[in-house]
Amino acid sequence: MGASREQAGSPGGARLTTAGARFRFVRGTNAALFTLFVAGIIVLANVVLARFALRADFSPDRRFQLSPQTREVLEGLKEPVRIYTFAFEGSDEAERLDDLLREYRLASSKVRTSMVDPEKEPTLAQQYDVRVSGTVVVEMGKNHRKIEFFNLFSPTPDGGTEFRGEQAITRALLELGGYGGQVVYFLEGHGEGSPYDDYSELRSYLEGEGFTVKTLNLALENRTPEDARVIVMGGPRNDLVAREREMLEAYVKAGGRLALWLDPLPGRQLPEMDKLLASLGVELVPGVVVDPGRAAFGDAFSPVPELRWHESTRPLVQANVGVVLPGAQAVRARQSADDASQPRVSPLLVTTDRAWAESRPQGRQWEPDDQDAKGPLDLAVAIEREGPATPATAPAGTEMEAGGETAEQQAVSQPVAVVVGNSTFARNASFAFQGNRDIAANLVTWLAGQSEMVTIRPATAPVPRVLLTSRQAAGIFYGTALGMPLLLMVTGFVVWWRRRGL
Amino acid sequence: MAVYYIFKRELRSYLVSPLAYAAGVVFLAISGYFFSVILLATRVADLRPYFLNLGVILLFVTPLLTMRLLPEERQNHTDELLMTLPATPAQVVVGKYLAAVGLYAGMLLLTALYPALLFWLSNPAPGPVLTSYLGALLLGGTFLAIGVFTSSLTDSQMVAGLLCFGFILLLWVINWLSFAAPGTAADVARQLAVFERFDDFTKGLIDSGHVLFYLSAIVLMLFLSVRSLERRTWM
Repeated sequence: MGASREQAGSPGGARLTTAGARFRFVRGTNAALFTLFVAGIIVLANVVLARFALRADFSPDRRFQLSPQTREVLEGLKEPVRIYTFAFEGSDEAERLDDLLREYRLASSKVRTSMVDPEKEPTLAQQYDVRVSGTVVVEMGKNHRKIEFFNLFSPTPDGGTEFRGEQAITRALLELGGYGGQVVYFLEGHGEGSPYDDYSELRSYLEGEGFTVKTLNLALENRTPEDARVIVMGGPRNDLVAREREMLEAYVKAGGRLALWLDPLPGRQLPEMDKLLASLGVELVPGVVVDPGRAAFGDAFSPVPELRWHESTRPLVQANVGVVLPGAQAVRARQSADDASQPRVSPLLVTTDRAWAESRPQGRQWEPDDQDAKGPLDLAVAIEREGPATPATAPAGTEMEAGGETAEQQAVSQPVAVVVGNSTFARNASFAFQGNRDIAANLVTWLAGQSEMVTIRPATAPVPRVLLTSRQAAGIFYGTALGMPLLLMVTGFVVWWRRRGL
Repeated sequence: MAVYYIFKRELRSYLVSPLAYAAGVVFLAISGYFFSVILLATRVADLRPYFLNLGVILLFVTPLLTMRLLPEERQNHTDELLMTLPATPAQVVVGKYLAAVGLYAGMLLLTALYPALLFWLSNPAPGPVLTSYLGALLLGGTFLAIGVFTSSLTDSQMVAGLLCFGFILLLWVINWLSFAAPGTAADVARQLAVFERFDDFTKGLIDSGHVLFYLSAIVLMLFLSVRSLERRTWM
């Protein structure tokens, strides 16, 4: 600009100005092109090299690393997979799942992921029947698997959270890919609770854990299905018929596993059921259990039994949670002359010694009498026997099991049955109460076998808690928020003061 | 050598400038407040919440550190002196930038007291602490490069500071576009989201893509600053 002002007065000024402008235009254009060129190269380098990004994971819970098993499953994917994460924007579960699913996306080009805020896209949430933030839906072709929040996150005793996302999502991929989960059948035909109604939450949970849940009517099928890993009988109101009982006995003999959740039915006899229980080495104690020692909200008919250490109760004992059984009866091992051949019966849930089994309730007065069995009473037992490690009813997809354990034939303790003197604890109405969900799910998973289809360690990181005295707390606040800045301010002032004289 | 000379000269001028101390005091006061309040409220030895707030602090502190870098030379008429030195505009820009980064690194170093306290009081995971500091250095380095660029655009320190503030604020909110706009705009916005990339560092992840992004942004900003400075010599 300065040049044009200087040259304006001279005779040839106009020509010079034009030449100067042209010079600036050419130079300016060149400079702009060069700038664009360099900027373009930088952007291009980012776009290209981002595809070959290397990642180093220093997180305490190794949240950016997929297990070799997951990588193997992802490499073997034949069809594209869409994974929806339904979670509120900015929530902890959204962040955790987003981090994990990014790893899936990076590991396989067949995986597409979408983060869906159920509040913003209620139609999509409704389509998959999603009701809780932190739900994942894995979709392959026309099939999909829903993984509930409780299948993904579980609290740890130290107040942290165990994240089982990789385990659950990889398992869903395996199932959708045709490796199939273990099948749990819910028996029908005797007034039992339905897995699509009374036990729908348990069913949803089990499906999230990789099981396939079906119903079974023995009278119609006339056999126990070959793929039946576990048969659940949840709260029958009527007795079995002899033929059904025989089929179940044969099923157990062949290595099948039974979960019998039996409510007290005062004044009624179920002789075939008693025979089935006898074949398992247990019997029911007549009467409704009253436990004034440990009960939910002071209701002695809703005992909160103590958990006994067993493989099936281990996580609950560790987490120290309670289980409530509203309206329960007791179970006990049968006395037998030949104890050696009997299966081993282990108590899982035990009342206090103040409890009794009220067999003859009279009016509103509930007092133990001589006829009543006295506590401590077992409300749930696990039945095991020695047997070969390979179950007779091997589930589909056993080849995916880790460690090649299926080849071993050594005698180990095998689950046979679980008998609980109550069916309400696993029904929807009580399912969310404290440890009810966990005990119901653990009993079924224990019965299904120890070897899991997916053996990925859940991600946990201990929470580094800080214990502070009020003095320490004050020291930290004043020291960092006031002390340090003040010290710097004083330093600045001293520097200014010393330079003032210069 | 010229870069080193300019770096030393600039750093010395920082250390005697009240503005640098003011920036340092603001940085430490807000940092200390965030750190202690979060620690006392959660009672968990985790620096991540502090680092997630670092972006806000840098939004205010970066303009203070860079607004005077190039305009001051012109206001004091030392820019001609600079240009007569056997130093290219690139060396001037890099030297001044490194001085700003040096000062910022010094400020970050003072915050090392926070993890030291946490290690004394509890048992935090060291990995994310170290990666967070690396991320903080890259994020701050990028903001400072933006500040150098905006200071190369104008003769006014105030305007340079405001431009820098606006630029960083834009980078902060650009990610919102990824939720609002569909398709390519959302993808571009996601790529430019400097804070989202920093988030991975606070979790303990070093992604070479993120490192490359920050370094590229720094190089691009410094390159544009050099072009802007050169433009002044022939305009």
